[in-house]
Amino acid sequence: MNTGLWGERLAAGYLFLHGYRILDRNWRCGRYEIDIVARERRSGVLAFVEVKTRSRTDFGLPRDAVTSKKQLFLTRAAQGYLKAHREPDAHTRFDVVEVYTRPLRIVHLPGAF
Amino acid sequence: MLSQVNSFGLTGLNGFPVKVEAYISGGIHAYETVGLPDAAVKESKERVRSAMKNAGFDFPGDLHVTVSLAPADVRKEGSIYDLPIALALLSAQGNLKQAPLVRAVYLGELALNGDVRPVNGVLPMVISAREAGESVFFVPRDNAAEAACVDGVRIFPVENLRQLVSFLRGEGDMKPQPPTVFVPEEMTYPWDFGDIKGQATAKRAAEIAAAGGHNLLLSGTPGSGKTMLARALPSILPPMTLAECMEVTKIHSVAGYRGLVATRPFRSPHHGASAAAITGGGSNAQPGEISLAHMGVLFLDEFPEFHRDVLESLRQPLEDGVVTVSRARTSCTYPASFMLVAAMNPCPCGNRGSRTRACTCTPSQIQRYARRISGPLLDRIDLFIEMNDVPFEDLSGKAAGEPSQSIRKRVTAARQRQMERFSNDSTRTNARMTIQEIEAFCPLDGGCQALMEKAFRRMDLSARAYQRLRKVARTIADLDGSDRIQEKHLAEAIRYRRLSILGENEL
Repeated sequence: MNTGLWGERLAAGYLFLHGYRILDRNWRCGRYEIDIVARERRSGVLAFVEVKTRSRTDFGLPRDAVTSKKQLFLTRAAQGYLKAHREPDAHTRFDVVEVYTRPLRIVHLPGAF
Repeated sequence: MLSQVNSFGLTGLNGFPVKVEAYISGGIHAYETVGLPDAAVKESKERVRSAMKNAGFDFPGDLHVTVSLAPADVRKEGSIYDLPIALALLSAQGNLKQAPLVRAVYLGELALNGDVRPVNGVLPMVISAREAGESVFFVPRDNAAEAACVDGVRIFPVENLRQLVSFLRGEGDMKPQPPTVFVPEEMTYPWDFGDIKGQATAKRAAEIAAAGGHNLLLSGTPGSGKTMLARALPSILPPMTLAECMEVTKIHSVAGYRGLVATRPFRSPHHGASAAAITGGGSNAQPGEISLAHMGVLFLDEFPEFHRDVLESLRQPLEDGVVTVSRARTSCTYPASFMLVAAMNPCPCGNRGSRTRACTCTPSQIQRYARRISGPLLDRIDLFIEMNDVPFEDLSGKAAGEPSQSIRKRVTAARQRQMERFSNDSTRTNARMTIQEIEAFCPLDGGCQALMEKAFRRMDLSARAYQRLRKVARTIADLDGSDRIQEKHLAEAIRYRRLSILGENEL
């Protein structure tokens, strides 16, 4: 199993333990993909989660890899998701989950952009 | 989810109502400002976000926000919409009742910490808004005194967002600004006629110019007191009435000066000024120096050094008392009824006509110098004064000149006579008389007629100069308390039309 997929599974588990219901994983809309779609149980907010896994930070933090271009793609995908599920007015949020492998550490950034 | 707040906008000196609407919905987070906002209005998002958070409120950053400034087809400028936008967002979030937001007008820029900062053009906006039927205003504290000049409105000075919101929720208390009381100025001017030694003719001419609102050209050797005389001129002009103050303050407010203008403006732009700086300009057609000098004095020192196009652009406003500034997007008409006082040297070296120093200029140099001022412009100047070196005896003499205060009394009396004469229309001074009014109020009897004919032929006057002479004669008669223009009045008026001070070739 590759690192990225491993990190996404780990992140999904983390979110589940922190009060989120996982609705979809690797939801695709044409060439755009969302790693995790989850709903916060407490508030009902729909979170579109991008997971970034890194073993070393020599080339910047994982969150830095979510560039403005990537953000645009995620926004497009989210629009597609809302349309497909007929929820145009849902309260939404874009999160980033960083997974560091050595030592193992998970950082959740709600409302990252 | 949906809310509306009343605000105001400005084009030139005229205001128009603006409705600030906000709609907050779910979906992908976004923030849109629509209604032709300029850069300052678009940037309000960041100020509003920070101000709301720092004042202890939520900014709907993770929701889809639409802010609309209606009417949608008129350009909105400046930072005045920060406060209404913040209130609209608070109301759309359900944190504020809608009712008070549409019953008053809200203006103000927000600082990042939630303080409310002053903005430009509050007075003209309040005036137009009152005409549109508004009576309650929330304005930045620093603009409150200016806004409270207007009758029949309640002005609330706003210090910060927090304070305003608690007041609107009925929690806090807020005191309306007391009306700004207008004290007919007992202003002290830094320059007084009493300090000017000698130069009796020039002072007399300045008095006539002040009494009738005439334009004045001072020509003289360096150090003879031209600038001093010009600077002292506002001190002998009659005090402004409240209506005049408001008119002047309106223009100054648009140009970004705060507070009530209670003294006659004195503007002395440098001779490097561009035509746009003098007549008004910029993409949003801001008022220029001639409009800022409205009701006061526009002093152009080193007159021939001004760019030609600048001087020529003065011609039309000098005649009409208003200027229309047209730009691609807007066209604004500003009042520009000012007294032109120009000062110059008689020649490039400055010593021509001096009793003590020799002029080193060649005749052609002098001619070239004088020719920088065009005939049509000179035609619009009523009084030409030559100022020469002040002799030592005058300078060292203890005898103080007549103080401004007493000259002003005579000027005010002469203006009073004019006011009564022109009681029923917009003419306010002799200098602004129309042709019909000249015919009605400046008749020349037999002796005057003969004198005028002689002067007309000898001085080769233009038709306009002829009319201007009659106006000046009228003012001299007013100062004399005479209903009729007498020969001595006309003779004095002719004496001030000495174009010879301008070089070899007379016009």
